[in-house]
Amino acid sequence: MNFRLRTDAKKWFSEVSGRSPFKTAFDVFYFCLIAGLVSGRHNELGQSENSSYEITDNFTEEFRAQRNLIIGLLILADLRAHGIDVHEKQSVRNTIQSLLDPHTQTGLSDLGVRLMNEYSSGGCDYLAERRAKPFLAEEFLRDFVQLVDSAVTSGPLVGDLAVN
Amino acid sequence: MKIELRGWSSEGLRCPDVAVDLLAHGEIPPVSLIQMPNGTGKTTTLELLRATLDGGAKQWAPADVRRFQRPHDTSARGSFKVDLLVDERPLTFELILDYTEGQAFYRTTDPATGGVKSGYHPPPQVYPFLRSQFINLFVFDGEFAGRLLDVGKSEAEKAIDALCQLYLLNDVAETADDAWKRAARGGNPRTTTGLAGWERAQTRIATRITQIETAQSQSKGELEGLKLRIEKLKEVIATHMARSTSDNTEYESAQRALADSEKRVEALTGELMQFVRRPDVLHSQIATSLQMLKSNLDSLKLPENTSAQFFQDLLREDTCICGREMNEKARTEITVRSKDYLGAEENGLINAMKTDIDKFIPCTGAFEPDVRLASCIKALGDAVRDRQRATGTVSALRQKRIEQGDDKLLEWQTELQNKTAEIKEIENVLKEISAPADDSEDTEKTFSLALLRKRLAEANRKVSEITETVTIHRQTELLKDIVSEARELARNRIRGIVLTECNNRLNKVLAHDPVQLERIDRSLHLAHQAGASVGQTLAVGYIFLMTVLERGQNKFPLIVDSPAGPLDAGRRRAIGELLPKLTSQFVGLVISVEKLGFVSSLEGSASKVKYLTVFRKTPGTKQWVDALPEKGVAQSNNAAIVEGRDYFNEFDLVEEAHL
Repeated sequence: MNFRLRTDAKKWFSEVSGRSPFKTAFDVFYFCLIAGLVSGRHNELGQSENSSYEITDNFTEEFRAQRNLIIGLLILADLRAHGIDVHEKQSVRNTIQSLLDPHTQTGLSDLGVRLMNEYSSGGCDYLAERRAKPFLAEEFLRDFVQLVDSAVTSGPLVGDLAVN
Repeated sequence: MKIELRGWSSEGLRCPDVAVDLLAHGEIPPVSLIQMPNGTGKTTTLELLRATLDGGAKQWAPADVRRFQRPHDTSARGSFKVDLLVDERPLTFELILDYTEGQAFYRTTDPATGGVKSGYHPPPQVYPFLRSQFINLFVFDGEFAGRLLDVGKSEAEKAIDALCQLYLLNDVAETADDAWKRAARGGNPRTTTGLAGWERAQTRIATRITQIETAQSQSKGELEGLKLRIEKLKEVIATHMARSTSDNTEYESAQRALADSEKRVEALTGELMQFVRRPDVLHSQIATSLQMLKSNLDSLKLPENTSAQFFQDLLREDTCICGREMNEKARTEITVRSKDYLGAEENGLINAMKTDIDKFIPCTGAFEPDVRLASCIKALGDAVRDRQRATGTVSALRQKRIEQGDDKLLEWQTELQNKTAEIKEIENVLKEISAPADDSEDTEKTFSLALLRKRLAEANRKVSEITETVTIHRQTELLKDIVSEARELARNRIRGIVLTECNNRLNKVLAHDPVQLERIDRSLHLAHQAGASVGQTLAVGYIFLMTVLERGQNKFPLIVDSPAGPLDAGRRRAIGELLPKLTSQFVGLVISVEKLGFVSSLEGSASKVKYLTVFRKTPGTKQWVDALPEKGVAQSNNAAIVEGRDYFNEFDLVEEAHL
């Protein structure tokens, strides 16, 4: 299972992607993924309006060091999506078991990668609903930090803390 | 090894029938100049020299062969013979063109292996240097040396490939690919259903890949050329604006502010990107949530100290760890309960995640917004505003000059805008070419090489499956990957070596007019290229070629058509002085207008020069024939060749007198 990017996300980012400092398509995937994970937005790929394409089969070099933090955010998002109490050992273990696969290069199971793709798709909608198509990297990056802040402030991450 | 050109002769071809003997008093002189007026067949001679030496005419189509037949000539055959000296031993190749059959044949004369043989048979030690790619490095037209520095071309890369004979690696890949295709064609498919379709797809996709790779290569060259031009235009505009008496200081200051803010925007954007790529830095709440996840896993004792593997091992024992007998009921129970534990490798993943959370997010209790991120965003905002202000000032000052009637500035400004737009277009094309494979795109419409290569791999796989040649196909692909990697590694290594050697040679040869190469990739790049003269550029090209050719202690002749053609007299002098220092044998095919400055400087620099003049015998040149000197003349039915310095030097006067 590979990481997939929404076709319309490619178009939306077309003016900034592939130009410094956005090195690969995984950068675009990551912006969408983080937006999806912090806002809790996710949707399935494959429907005509959500057509997608494979971008890579692994975290790219720029994200290898952050891989485990991103996986951690995915686990948190999935626990939250299924309403699992983080103190329920069996449920937490099952969730981790379903998302991780030590035999893949990403460390994620097929389900884990699929969920990443779904959150990236949701994040793509989240960004496109709140900002015009980006034309300059420097402007988009500053706005992205703001958009993440808004999503965190009004989104489910605050709830994670409350559970604790 | 030393290869020298002793001479050549042609008969029954589009170029005149002549025998050119380069020997002078039994020796090959360091410089030979052959004067051939326009229309005498310099280009044809050069083409036939190459074809005779590289054996490539065997592949010519009948039309290619007949292209060399002289118009209105009824000869059934033409021949071109090249005499070489290899380490002072004679070696002759003859190319025979049969116009009736439209075929090309060769004859090789090598006394070391028994004299004349039918066919193209270069001795094994000479063969690598007679491949067409290699010959192009020492038989070329005068503009080739300059093209080595043209960022729109890839001549330097081709030269490096030829030097390392990297084309042999391509040959290996192509041979393997051909072998697989032959096996696939000769296979015994269980069913031919779909085979023809997949084979057509193979051809179609492979052709498109070649087209797009060529476009990619050209676009990269164009991009570099445009970037250089834009730099040059900016320089020109800045110098022009600096001459203004009134706005000079303000413009310079705005330009400096613009350059400074652009640099800051670029650096800070890169820095911000690095922060954004780290979720823990991106927002304090994200850091808090991850630390909370780690704390919860700790309190849940996940991962457990015992892994599922322990229980799997236990099932193989006769007794349980508690001492009871391991019966079927116990085995079933342990199997069911072992699923409540994570595997050892899963435990490893979770522990790695917990370690990373601790590493990136020290557990300090309260998480504050990252001050580095905030200050980077603020600094970037300031830099963007500075850039806007500086851009506005620079544009306003330029506009003021344009409104005052500065047409030159308007012209440069317009060109700058156009070139900037062109860069964007080319960057977009290159981006599409290097885009990941989007399966929703059509093969015929996509520019993505990744998608096309994926589809070609799929077509190849299908063909190999249908024809039951899967193993040989896998082996072929592996071999092609190895070959491709080896080629890149060799290229990069040799580039560095040649760069150092070239710069050492440049220091010595151009000591009075210093210039250095900055880097070599597809083309040569001079340090401060924008300021280099045409003469320097050409000199660097020649020095690069000779450095490449003479690696490995080999010596080759340099055979150049119009070596001084595009230069003015001053630069011709410089190149004329340089060439004899670079090569042991220089053979130049020149026209009379090239002589000024060039010939005298060659004479001054070379110990001996052989002069030949060739012209066609036509009704228009009858007076030249009538005025031929008594000695040193050889004539055929359609040409005359005259040896001698005086006739060579006075030939332009002869020409003018009859024009």
